[in-house]
Amino acid sequence: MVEQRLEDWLEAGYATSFRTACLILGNRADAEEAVQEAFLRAWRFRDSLTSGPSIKPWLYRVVVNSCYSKLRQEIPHRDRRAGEGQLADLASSDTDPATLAQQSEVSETVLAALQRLPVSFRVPVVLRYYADLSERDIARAIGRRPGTVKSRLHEARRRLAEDPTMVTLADHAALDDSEEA
Amino acid sequence: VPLLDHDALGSLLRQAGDSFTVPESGIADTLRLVRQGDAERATRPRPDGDPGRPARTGLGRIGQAVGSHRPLSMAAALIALAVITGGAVVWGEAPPSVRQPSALQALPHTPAPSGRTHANASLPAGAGLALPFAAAVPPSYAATITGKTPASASTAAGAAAGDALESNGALGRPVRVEQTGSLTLLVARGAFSATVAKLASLVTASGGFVSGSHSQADQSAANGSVTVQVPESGFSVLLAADQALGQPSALTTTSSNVSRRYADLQNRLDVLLDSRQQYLALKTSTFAVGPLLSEQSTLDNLQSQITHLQGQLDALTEKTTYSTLTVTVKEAGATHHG
Repeated sequence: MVEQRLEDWLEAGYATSFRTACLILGNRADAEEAVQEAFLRAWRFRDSLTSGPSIKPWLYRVVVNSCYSKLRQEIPHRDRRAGEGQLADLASSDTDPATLAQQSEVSETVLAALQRLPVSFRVPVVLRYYADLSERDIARAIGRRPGTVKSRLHEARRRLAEDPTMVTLADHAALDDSEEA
Repeated sequence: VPLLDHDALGSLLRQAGDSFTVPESGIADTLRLVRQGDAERATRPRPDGDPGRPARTGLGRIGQAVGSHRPLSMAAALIALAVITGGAVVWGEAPPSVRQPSALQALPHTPAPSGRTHANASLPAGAGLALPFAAAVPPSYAATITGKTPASASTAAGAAAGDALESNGALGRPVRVEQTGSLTLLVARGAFSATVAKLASLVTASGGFVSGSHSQADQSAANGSVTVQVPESGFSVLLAADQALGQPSALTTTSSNVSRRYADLQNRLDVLLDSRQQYLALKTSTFAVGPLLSEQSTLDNLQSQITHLQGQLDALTEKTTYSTLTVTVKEAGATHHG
């Protein structure tokens, strides 16, 4: 029963947590370790978990803390300027090579822009726009007030808008979305 | 100020995030590690009742408290220092009549217990046992060694207790004494072999063994030496018995109290073993490669120090468990070369 609960957690949250950690850390290997540590930690301290709708931010809080630990402990010892191809690890798919190349370019540009943001802005952006957490849940996950989260998100969007490549990509994305709609 | 569009930013981040392939074995690996960690925690005792945290020793808990309440710890340390300093000042100002002598101060002076006691005597031919081993060490000390309480006044027992306090290096631990001695015996011509055989049988009877021997014979007489290891408690008895085998001409005994050194080695070993235990506990909860390698390196280093200390401790234990006695046997008229 208990094992089943852990498996449920993993099935439901592993993929999103892993990709969230990838976006925060910009490195696949670090993300894998961080998420593994996060789930182990979450499982070990599961008694402190209150059931209900707060499970998701609680789990994200553990993942984010694990990412912070990675950033503090290990990554400073490495060359943090990840080379091309290190950041993006495109999923193999049946997509044609041209589209794949375009996706790769988009992903690498977005990841590079994220890595240029300070961690305090990067984490709320990833939690809001990738993990789809509300500002209140982000506040719980990072242990800050909702007002702080709001202002950080605003500042992050402003900084990302200073990057012309990001603006172009955002325009294309908005156009694609409207065409699909 | 222009801002990036919400929906566009969401779309871009989803695209970037989804470009990462999720490790296929990620879930299975995590489950395996969780099960492994649970199994290890289940077999480990938890004095604090917290199932999630590794067990901490008393020092570990103090360290944790100091780490998390650093300003409070510093304040507590300053207060403790002030109390100690104040106590010392009050003690220093008290008139001599008020000062209460401590148990150790009340004891009669005895030689420094951690030092080496040495006795050397050249006995004239025909003399008996002029220098028994017990005389080479303070009476209370000898009593502790042989396990006999001197039949003298009760102060002797107090002295023995005080001496044990001083010499042990740690309360509740036995006194460790390293003893060596050498004895030269003159025997009648032709009695060398029989004397050595008797000596060997005495040693065996006292629970010891012959660790080395050397002999030589010239035209007129034979001589040689036998090195024996005997249990520390039977050393003085054997020494007395050996002297009856011939005519003692020289006797040297050396006794060195190594209790403090022994206690120090034991304490250092305990600390290292405790550290190793904590690192092992930490290792079971660490799965990142970097920290894991670092912890392994620390563990290897700790193990090396533990092995080194354990070796020293074993050697010291052997030296204090068995005393070494070298008996040189000379036939009358022989010239000793060795």
